[in-house]
Amino acid sequence: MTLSIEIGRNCAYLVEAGVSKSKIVIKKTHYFAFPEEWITDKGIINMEEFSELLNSNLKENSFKNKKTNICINNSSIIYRELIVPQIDEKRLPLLVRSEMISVLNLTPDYIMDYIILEEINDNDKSMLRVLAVAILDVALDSYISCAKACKLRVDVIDSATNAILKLVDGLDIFNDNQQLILADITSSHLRLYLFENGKYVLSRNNHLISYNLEDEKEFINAVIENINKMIQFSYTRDNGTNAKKVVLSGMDELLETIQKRISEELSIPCEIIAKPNYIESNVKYENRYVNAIGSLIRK
Amino acid sequence: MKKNDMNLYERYRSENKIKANYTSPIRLYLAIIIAAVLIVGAYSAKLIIDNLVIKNNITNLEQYVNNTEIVTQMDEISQIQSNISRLNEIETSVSGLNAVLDYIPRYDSVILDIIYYEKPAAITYTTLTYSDNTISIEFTAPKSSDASNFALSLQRTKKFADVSYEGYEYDSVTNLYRGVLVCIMEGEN
Repeated sequence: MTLSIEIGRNCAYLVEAGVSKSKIVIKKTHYFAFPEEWITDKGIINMEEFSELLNSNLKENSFKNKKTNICINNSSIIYRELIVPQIDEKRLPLLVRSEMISVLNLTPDYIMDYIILEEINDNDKSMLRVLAVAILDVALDSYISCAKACKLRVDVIDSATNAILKLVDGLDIFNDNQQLILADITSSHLRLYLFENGKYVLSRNNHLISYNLEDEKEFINAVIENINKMIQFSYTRDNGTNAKKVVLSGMDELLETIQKRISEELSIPCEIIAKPNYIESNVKYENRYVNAIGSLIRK
Repeated sequence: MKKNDMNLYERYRSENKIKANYTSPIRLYLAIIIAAVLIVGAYSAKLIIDNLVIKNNITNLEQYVNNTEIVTQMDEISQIQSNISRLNEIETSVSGLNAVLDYIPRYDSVILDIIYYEKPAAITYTTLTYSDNTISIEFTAPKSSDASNFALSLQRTKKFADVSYEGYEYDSVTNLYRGVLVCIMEGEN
């Protein structure tokens, strides 16, 4: 059993699941909100309150597992797509690190990791397209300290983008020659992922007005407007004339409304992300936990 | 193998490991200090143990020395040693006395043998007197020269410090000469 905690900008999502190589069985889920100011690019700055809040939520909802995967989905993590020469795998981390420092003008006190998205040929040179992430070591320290304060044993710290990429990899949402926009909707942010021909291209993060029932319409309008902007952007791509599709994940209570409006207003097929077939759930499966579930998948 | 997953925690741990290795001089100093403390501690422990062993030995020796039986035996030994010392002193005195005795002239069988064997056949002893390392020999001889020859004979033995002849007188009744020889004895050493 593994506990996966997605730490968003103002909300934390908890999923307890049994994880094997071929199957994930969700046993328990829970989420709770916290003030957005508690987390910055330096990680959790209000450590004591956050730890207490997390601990009380764990206890109240009987999460007893200690082995923990943390999925970071807030401003403390930086993403960057890089094209680097295909070199020895052992030297690649250093190359990615120096590229990230150079491109983003980072200080050396950042922890970095990456995944290889694809191999490409650039003027007969074999290159790698990688998705790199960087996080301040103090920020990472804060997440680890928080987990320790709650007596949790950290096993994995993942990023939301990587979690989504792993999750959608097992889904039948990509058709040939198709541009796909995946919209992950939270109560204050919208994260849009663009895929082309089944491959991840880029992601954008949009700050939204904080969701509340009274301003629901306004909130949905903001979501649709931002999705539309991404659609417009996709037309500027080389294969921008290809068929397009929008897939929604996140706040389950809004997804159907948003789906309907996108289909009607933007005239683009829109669907709600399905549950991958290797995932079983003993509780009601909800899309708001996709990042936490994605972090449970290890490749 | 294509890297298609990420784990920032793993990277964090490996970075910290590198940092820990980078600060190895501090660890080295720390190790040296710890090693020094351990060595000093071990040496101190050894000294403490040695001290305890010595104290234990002293206690055992004190118990042994203060044991009544041993004290009695020690007193006896002291007494015996005292006696030995006294005997040694006596032996020294006796040795000195022997030397003195050896030096003092003695009237013994050797002297008698000399007086007997050196006596010419013609001489007859009438009286032999010993007093204060002086032997007085009264004799009779048929000839007057016998007495002087006898005195010379005794002198040649060099067993006497002095041999004196005080002359003789003729006894007309016995037709013999009568005289006295005085022999003064000398120490052997």
